[in-house]
Formats: sequence, structure tokens, C-alpha cells
Amino acid sequence: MSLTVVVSEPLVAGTNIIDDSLGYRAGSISFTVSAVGGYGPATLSLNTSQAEIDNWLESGLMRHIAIYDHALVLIYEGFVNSITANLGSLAVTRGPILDISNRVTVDYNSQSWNTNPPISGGPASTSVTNDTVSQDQYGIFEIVVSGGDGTSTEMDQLRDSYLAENSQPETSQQISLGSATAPSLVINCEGYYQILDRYFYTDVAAGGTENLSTKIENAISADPNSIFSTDFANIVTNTIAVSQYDDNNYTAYGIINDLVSRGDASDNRYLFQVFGSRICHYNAIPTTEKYNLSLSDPKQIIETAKGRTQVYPWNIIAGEWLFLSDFLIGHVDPTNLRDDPRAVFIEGFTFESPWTAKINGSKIGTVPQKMSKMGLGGI
Amino acid sequence: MTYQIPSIFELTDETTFIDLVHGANSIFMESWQPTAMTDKGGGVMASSPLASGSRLVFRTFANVVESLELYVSANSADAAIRRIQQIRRLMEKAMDYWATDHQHTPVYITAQGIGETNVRYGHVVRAVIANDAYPYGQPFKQADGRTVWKFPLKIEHLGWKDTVPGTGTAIETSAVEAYDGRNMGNVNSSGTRTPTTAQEVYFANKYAIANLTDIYIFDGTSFGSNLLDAGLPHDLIDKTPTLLDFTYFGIDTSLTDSGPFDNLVFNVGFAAVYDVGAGLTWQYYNGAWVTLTTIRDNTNGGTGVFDTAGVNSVNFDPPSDWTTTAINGITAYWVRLDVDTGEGSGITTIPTQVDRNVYSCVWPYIEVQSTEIAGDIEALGKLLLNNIADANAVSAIDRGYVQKTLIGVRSEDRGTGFRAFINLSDEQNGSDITISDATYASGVEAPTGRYVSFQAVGSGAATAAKITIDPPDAYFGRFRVLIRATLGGATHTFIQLKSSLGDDSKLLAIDQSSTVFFVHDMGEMSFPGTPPSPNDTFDKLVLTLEITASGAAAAPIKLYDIAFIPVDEWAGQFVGAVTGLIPQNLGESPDGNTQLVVDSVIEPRRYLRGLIQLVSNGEIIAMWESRGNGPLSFPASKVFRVYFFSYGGEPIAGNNAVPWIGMRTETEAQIRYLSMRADR
Repeated sequence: MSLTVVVSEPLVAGTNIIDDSLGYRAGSISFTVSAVGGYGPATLSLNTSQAEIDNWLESGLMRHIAIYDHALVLIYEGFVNSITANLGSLAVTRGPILDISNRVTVDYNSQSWNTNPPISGGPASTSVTNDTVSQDQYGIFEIVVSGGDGTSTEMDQLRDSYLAENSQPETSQQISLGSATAPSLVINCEGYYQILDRYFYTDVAAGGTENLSTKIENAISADPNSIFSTDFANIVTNTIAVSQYDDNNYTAYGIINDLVSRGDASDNRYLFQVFGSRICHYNAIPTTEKYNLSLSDPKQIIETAKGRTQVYPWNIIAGEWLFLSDFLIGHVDPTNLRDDPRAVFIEGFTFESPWTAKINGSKIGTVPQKMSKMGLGGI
Repeated sequence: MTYQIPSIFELTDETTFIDLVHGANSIFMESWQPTAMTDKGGGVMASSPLASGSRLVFRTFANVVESLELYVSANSADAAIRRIQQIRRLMEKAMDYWATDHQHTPVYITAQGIGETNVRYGHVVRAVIANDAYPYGQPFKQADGRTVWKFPLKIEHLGWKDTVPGTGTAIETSAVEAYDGRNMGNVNSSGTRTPTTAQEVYFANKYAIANLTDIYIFDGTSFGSNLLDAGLPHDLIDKTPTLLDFTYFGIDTSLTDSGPFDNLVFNVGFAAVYDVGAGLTWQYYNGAWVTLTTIRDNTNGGTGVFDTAGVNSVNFDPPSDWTTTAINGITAYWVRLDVDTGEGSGITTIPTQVDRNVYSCVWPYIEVQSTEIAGDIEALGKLLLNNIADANAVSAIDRGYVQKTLIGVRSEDRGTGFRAFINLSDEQNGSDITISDATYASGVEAPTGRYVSFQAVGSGAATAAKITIDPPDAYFGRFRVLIRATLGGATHTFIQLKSSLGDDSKLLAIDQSSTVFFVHDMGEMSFPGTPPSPNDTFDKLVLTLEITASGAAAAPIKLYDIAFIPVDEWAGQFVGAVTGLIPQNLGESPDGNTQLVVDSVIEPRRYLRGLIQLVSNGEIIAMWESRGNGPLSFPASKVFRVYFFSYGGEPIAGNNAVPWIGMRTETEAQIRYLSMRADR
């Protein structure tokens, strides 16, 4: 039984398939899914030819990676964030792509140096400048650089220098003479939710308030790369009123994080996840367990709580409850799962091929949501 | 320790042949203990310190590593060295096959033991001759001038197979279903199953029961007898064609599980020969007889219907205004051939049907018998799917092209009652399946002519239909579940299938952007959850189809069927890629009629490929994205079926699956053995 890994060109470039054979060529495959964010980091490593390594180093960043399970169902989706290749004594890394910026503005405090003492003109911003070559290749990655005090000319220069030096991914090399290795490639991916943190959400058109969930949808829709789906069927309505106006240089992810951390009117915890086809999911955490694990089962498998279906290690979903069925046997069932030491809230899980699943649990409560509403959480 | 000296052990790239048994190359095998194929790394074992023992939870096969002791015997040192060089070069070539992009010739072992009937083949992956002999003394310095030099050869190869790398053997397939007391499909004139290696096995994009019940020739005056009972061969039109002649093909709607149809499969013996102006025209009844325009007639090679001998089909979109009528006293869905004798001698050769009855393909599978695939483990496979329903020239049938195909294999010993499609209909599901708690409506476009019509009257979840499978055992296993529906009002927001045995499907948002025959991918479902013990007896499996609405709907959603494509044996999905702006469809693509080749045999370096070929010349015009839970694999020594579901007849993101997609297929296999082969 094997997984299928499909590599496509970067989403901003198109949908053409580049490779669908990594599922059986890769020496190891791992990926992480989190309750907050959804699909997260993934790593594919393989021994391969120099020609293939060259191709990945040249063109591999931001490629779209999709992983399908035994039932051909999508279980992971992300983009190539960095690539590390070993070629003899050379280890070379390209990326991470998340570190690039190809749409730059500088915020600064304007200064006039023609007077003594110099006069501060107050906060100002340069115009936006773009590297469209980089944008066509990787998508738009925005940044606002803090420029300190200066003139508009100085800040324009800073902006242009920053753009010139950061619009392409870094390449770093390490040469280890005497410890040469076989040609190999490590492809490091990230989940698309990270892209939410690379553009800013602004709404200066209207004041007043809107539903919290509507603001989440608006922040997603502002994506300049059109990576995220505008199918919001999986975003549940949350009628908590929040400010519609936003002009604080917060990224979409920062805003969404803040909104999600507020929970709902009853202070229930909510989750925000980006899953297949970049469809965003926003909903309250479940109140019943989805999975069961018996510590004394020699097979060490996770089963669904309702149907007792074996869940393969690549199929676990973060943001669900796992119940340890033979731990604290006889423990009285509390009203809330959060009060039951046998219940584990899956904050994240990592699959490592061929058959390993690592699960991180966490404590769930209402206090973080209450504090967030008071402005003590989120961003 | 027992050593075996085989009667054949040869290394070859089909240009160089190094016979290690008979010494044709002056190299002889002194000893070899064959290695059997075993689990890679011993498999993955799971263990809990809290429980006794451990369990095997995951396994794959490793390559086979053979260690041979060889010796070279030559009349000079140079000759001996050259022999070894020859092996080394061949082994280099073997490894370059895998490690480079320019060496495409496989090197393999041919082996056969003494007394072993059949030859087996091992595709070389890696080989090492680690040592040479001491060059300044023995063995080079022999009294008689000969050089006899022993050396070890270690060869790593893929598991043993019945054919040379890159080749398979055609296997016989078939599909047979009974209706109205007759076996339809790949049968002989007596109705007995006759599997074939030819591209004469058809499958549909639905699973209905209704099949042809009546075929009559009207000679201008009277009707003949029902040709389905007339014996074979028989004429397909009247022997003396006149303008008043017709041949009728129908399904009697007074029968249980009857309904409309969308294709006819013929085996034409004598091909029709037409004189000037003569011809046959397909018609259907909508209150009057009118020409069937949304049609692809594969029996027509260019001069007219049945002008091509052999097995071919006629495929058409069931016209929305198609109605039943009485012909020869039989009320049925009818299509007919209208005879036109033209200005000359008319139809000078009367077409005939041979070997088997004309039938309609209504099943979504092909079947392989247990004697077809020997071997110790699953065979590697190759499938060729030829879309014979799509017709670009006919706009209304354009959705007969395919951009996604889902394929699943299921062994028959898991239950013969399994039907990969359950019709959301009050008919045509077989005796084990009952649909209830539903409102039904009629529509010839539905796979059975009937469908469940659900219209939300308010907000919230409501049952659209309940499916009871009793006994449920044939449905135990893991499936990819897809629901086919035509959307109604936009207030229908979510769809879910709830299960009484196992888990519910995910709650899927209904895509409001695409409407006709839309496929809702419910993901994987498993029944009954925990794999049952053979001693377990289950009552029944009840699946409840729920539609969630945000309010009263303006129009009903039409629910046609649910596909259960098995995924716990081999399963694969093949998705069309867009090259430039041209989608390379499976069907009559812009470049011509195409076929999908699903291959794990021809190119051993790619364990699964989906190629789009032109039917006309076999040229590849696209490589589809291939997803699989392993290489295409067929069970050994078992009856099994391969199930298909095709969709995507819209722009690339589309998920529309018309029921009248039709395909025919050819199948090959490469049989695998854990070690020696014997006579299997």
C-alpha cells in the first residue's frame, strides 16, 4: 500500500503536472497537520540523479505538492518552501520561499534635515514597488519594512534595495571536503496557510462592525495570488460583531488568528484550517471523540470511535479528540471531554512513512477565548 | 546445504546472451542457492509492552539478491578476461537502465530449474563482481595454458515474472449479466460465458439491470419473431429490404427492473453493403419516430450502419423526450433502424448478428476468471480503456468524454452480491438492496430511468433516501464513495451518507457551480468498520442519505446513484492534464479518438502510468496524472472484477459523470512468483 505524491507547477503559474512518481521513489515522506492552520510542513527525501537535483534547485521552489492516500483521497497539500541537495561534498539549500518579499513598502517617520533641529513630519509610507518577475514565478509576497526616521528619498532607496535583495530566494552552500555524500534531495514543504501571513488585509472602505466569520472570509478573499478558494461553505457563521475597518498592516493570518482566538459567544474554542484545494475551514472544536486508541492493543492502531474503523497513520485528522480506551479504566465520565484525562485533543499529528504517526495533545478551555476578547490574545 | 544447478540461467539484454549453465560463453555457474522474495526490512511490526507478542502491520516486498559462484574457463588469460568484461559490461548496462535517462534496454535473468516446466524472468537492478583473480600467479599461470578463474557474482533483481521485462500477456476478460432469462454480454450462442483477450469487453458508467428483451424485424407487412430467441446467426434487417422495413430494439417495460437504455452492442458477421443512396437510420420514439441525433455508431465505418464486421457498439444520449410505445404488442423503450433502399440496388449484403445476442452494456466492470492469473502474489497489470461513446461531432454527446477515471479491483470471494453502484431508484438494484424513505421520479437520463427526487421544505438535515443492504456481507470493505446528482435549489447545502455499520461519510458541501450529473466525492467509507471475522453474522447495513438545507428549496435535487469503488485491493485514479489550453480527454479529444492505457507492465521504471493514446496509431498524446495505492495489480488465482467510474466531462475542474459513457477494454498481466515457477 503506498501513497501517491503529485508535483505540479506553482499554483500562480498553472496546474500542469510535473511528477507523480515521488510516492514510490521517495525514501521518506512525512507531513504534519495541525488543529491551527491545517496542512503544515512536509518533507520528502530521495536519492536521485544530479539531473533531477539540478531541475529541483532551478525550478522546484513553490511547486505544488499533493499527497493522496490508499483510497486516492487527498491527505496533504502544500508548496515547496525550501530544497536541500547533497552532491558529493556540496550541500546546497535554496529557500525558504517564505523569506522572500517582492512587493515592498517602507513605513517610516519622515524627517526634514533642512532645519536645526531637524523636523519630524510624522508617519509616512513609501509607494509600493514590485518585482513582477519574482511575482510571476512565486506569487506575491508582501512586506512592510520599518524604516525608522528619514526622508522620502532615503526611504525609497531603502525600499528598492530591500526589494532587490529579497525578491529571489536565498541560496546557501556548505562544502564539507572529506565527507562527501551520494546525490540526494530533501524537499521541504509548507502548508498554504502560511501564505495568509504574506499579504496584508486592509478595509478602509467602511466603518461599523461585521460578523466575525464574515471578516475571516473577507481576509481570505483579499489574497492577491488567488490561491485560496472562495468556497466558504466550511466556514461556519459566527455572529460576534467585530470592527470592519482595518488598516494596521496586519497580515490576513494575523487577523484570522486574532478572530479565531476569540471563539464564539460561549467562549468555545474555534479552529481555522486550510485543507484541500485551499478551502478554509472555520468551526468550533468537536465535543465528542472521533478516535480510540487502546494502549494494550499489540497492533497499536487508532480506530474511529463510532465505526471502529482502523485509521491508517496518514489519515488522522488534527483538531479531533482521541480517547484512550484502556487508560484509567473505571474513571467516571465527566460532562466535558476536556475534563477527562483519557481524552486527548489532537493539536497536531505528524505522519512519517511508512507507518508512524505522532500525535500532540493539548489542554482545552475557555479562558484563552475570554482573554482574547479582552484584547489579551491573538496577534 | 542443497545447491541447485538450473537448466537455464542466462543473463541477457536480448543482444548479448550469457549462458551460465551450459558455458556457451565459457562461463559456468558452480553454485547458486536461489533466494526467495521476502518482506522489505521484515515488514513493520507493531508491539505494545502492555500486550503479549507483536503484530505485522505493514509490508512490502524487497528485491531479490542472488549470490552466484561462477568460473570462467578459457584457453588464454586474455580470453578469460574478455569473458568477465562481457559480464561486467552487461551488468553496467543493467544498472544504467535504472540510473540514467538514456539507457532504455532492460537486462534480465532467464531461469529454469531442471525439470521445471516454465521459464521465469528476473529484471536486474544491480550486480557486482567485486573481485578479480590474482593476476601474477594462479589461476592465470596454468601448466596447460588454460585459465580457470572463479569469481562471485551478486545480482539484485525484481521478483520473478512470467514474461521478460516490459512485456505482459493478454488475459481473458468478460462481463455477463442475466435479464429476462437470457445471459447478456460476453457469451456464446448458448449463453455461456466466453472470456476473450480481444477488445470486445464493454463496461458502462452505471450499473443497471434492464437489458434488451425484444428485437423484431418488420418487413413492411408483419413482424417476425423475437430475434433474441431466434438462434444465431440471424439477419439484422429484412432479407429483402424495402422502404417500409424497420428493425426494432427494445426493453419491455412490463417487466420488473425494466427501463431505458443508451447503447447496443453488436457482433456483425456479414457486413452490410449499400448501393447508391441506400442506408439505415437510427430512430427513437417521442410521440413520433424521429432520428436519433446524439449518437455514436461504431458499427458504421463510413458507408452506413453495420458496414463493419465484428464487435462494435452504438452509443447514444437517451433523448429527454424518449417515451415508450407499443410495437408488436410490446410496450417498451424502443429504438429502430429505418431502411432506405436508395436509388440503386438497395442493401446488397444483409448484415447479420453472430455468436451472441445483441445486448446493452449496463455494468461498470470487467471480470477475470481464476484460471487466468497464476503466480504466488498479485500480478502486475495493464488496462486499455477505449471510450466508444464520445462523439465530438455531436454536441449533445460531448459530455461523453472523460477527464477522470477511478478504478478499483475486488475479489469475488468477498461476496458475489456486490454491486459497485447502488441506484437511488425504486428498481434495478437486485434483491439484496432496498431503497426507502424517498420520493421517486422518472427521467430517461437516469441510469435506471428512475431517480430519487428530494426538495428541502425547510432548513436543517433531512433524509433523502435510506438504503438497506441485507445481507450486507458482500459490501464489507473499504470504498471510495461518490454520489451522482443533478442539483436543484441552491438552498441544498450539504450532503452526507450515514452508516449503521462503520463511520458516516464526511459532511460535504454541495458544489453549487456545476449542475448536471455532478459527482459528490464523499471520500472513503468502510463497512462494517472493524474487519469482520469469518464467523461473524451481521443483520443488515443501512445507509441514510441526508441533505442539509438552509431553507426551502426552489427545485428538487435529483439523486441518481451512489458509486462504491473498492479501494482495499488495488485502486487507482487517473486525471487528465491540461497541456496548454487543450485538455487531453479520453474520448474524441481535439486530436482524435483516444484511449487510456493504465500501465504497470510496459515501463518497469514507472510503477504506474496513465497514458492517453490515439486509437488510430497508438501514439501517446498526453500523460495523465496517475494516483494509485500501488502498481496496477490483479489478484492471483481468484475470480475478480475491475470496477470503473469515469467523470470530468466539463472543463478540467468539472466532476460531471454522464451515465452513458461507454468503454471497451483489453487487459494484460505480468505474473509474479516468490521464487521458482514450476508449470504455473
